[in-house]
Amino acid sequence: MDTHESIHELIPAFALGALDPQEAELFTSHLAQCESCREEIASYQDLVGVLALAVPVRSAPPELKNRILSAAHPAQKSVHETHLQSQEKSEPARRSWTGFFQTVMPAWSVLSLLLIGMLAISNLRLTQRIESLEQSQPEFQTVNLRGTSSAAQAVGMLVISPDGQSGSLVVDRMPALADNQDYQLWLIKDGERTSGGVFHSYSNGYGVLWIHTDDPLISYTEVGITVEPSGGSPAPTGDKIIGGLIQ
Amino acid sequence: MMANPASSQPAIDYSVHSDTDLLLKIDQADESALGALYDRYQRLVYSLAYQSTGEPGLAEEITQDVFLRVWEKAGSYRADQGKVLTWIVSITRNRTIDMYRRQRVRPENNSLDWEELHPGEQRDGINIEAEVENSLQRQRIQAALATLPSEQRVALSLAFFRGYTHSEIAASLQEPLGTIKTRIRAAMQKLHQQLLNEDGFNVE
Repeated sequence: MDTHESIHELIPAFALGALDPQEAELFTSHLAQCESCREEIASYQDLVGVLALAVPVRSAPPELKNRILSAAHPAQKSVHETHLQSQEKSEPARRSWTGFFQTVMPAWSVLSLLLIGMLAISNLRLTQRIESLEQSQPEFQTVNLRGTSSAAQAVGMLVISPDGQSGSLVVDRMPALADNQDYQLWLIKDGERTSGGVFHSYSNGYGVLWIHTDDPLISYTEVGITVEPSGGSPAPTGDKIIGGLIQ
Repeated sequence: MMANPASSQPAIDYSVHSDTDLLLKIDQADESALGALYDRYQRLVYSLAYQSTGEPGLAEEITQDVFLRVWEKAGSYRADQGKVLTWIVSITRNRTIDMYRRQRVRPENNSLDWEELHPGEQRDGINIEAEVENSLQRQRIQAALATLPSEQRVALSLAFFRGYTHSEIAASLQEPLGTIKTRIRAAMQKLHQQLLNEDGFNVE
């Protein structure tokens, strides 16, 4: 099965997705060097698309469209909106202080030194209050994730809730996935890997995952992400592309 | 969501846009473009998912997955690698095959062919206009499928609807692997020969 003619015969089955893994690998490596095969494969892939037109026609329920459109909306927008909202909230606060100094200070210039002194004391008290609040309140823990040699550009962060039970994952600059692939998060403890969830990134390589786990997230020592067939695998089958250690 | 009633901008007529243009707009997070692409392809996606699974609930779930995938992945579509229809059918098949692998489809529910699953039943939500519009091209493809010997058609169906590989088809039909490879290749080559014309696979 190594002459061009015999490999060429695999085109129809490859387009249909019917090649067994070993043959598919052989064919894919041939395809990289053979332009005539690439052209013919596109034609056979179009044939597979056309065959779908022959099934009896049914319409999806009318309400499905709205369901899809409302699910599509937040999927790409939530991060940007949160970012914009936080900017909007901080802007008025900054303007009010600037306005205070611009209008009040010239009129009461004699008292300016006194006022600055009072503000300094007030500021000191506020700082002390914030510090004591920070000490009494539990904090989120973050873990930086770094890309492995197969995806050196990938970055990520794991955010663990103050009680250590649950968390979220955010990644960026992830390598592109094929249509039939997803990323899968693995939580590692005593050498055992448990799935923390399956997700995919948006077209720019940015992705988020809300981690579901039976054991507290903090009980794991390490995390890693692999590329798996759509829907995920019971155990990792792909190479680790990004990972990190939980302290 | 769709057109903003408060906006003074005139509504855009998406029906004039090509599939590729709609994908470009979807990549820029244009929800109305996703709505337009949905209107164009929902019947194809839902019908294929229904035919493959035999369950309306799963067909809906697959349809939703497919269009959300299109929303997220529109930027990865490459026009030089095939038509938009081919891309959407490929996503639909992958999602459906995934349902099989996760054993969410009861195989006895589907007839594994292009024929009517439950002949004579009342089909809800069927669009008569679309039915007439698509019937000619469907008839042409079904006619081509009908020329295949039944053993070729059965092997092709297992690959097309369930995503079986050569070995899985051979095991399922208890036939030699070489025989199955020959049947799949012969069936695909014959369909290719019959359906390809000077406009590619433009069967409209």
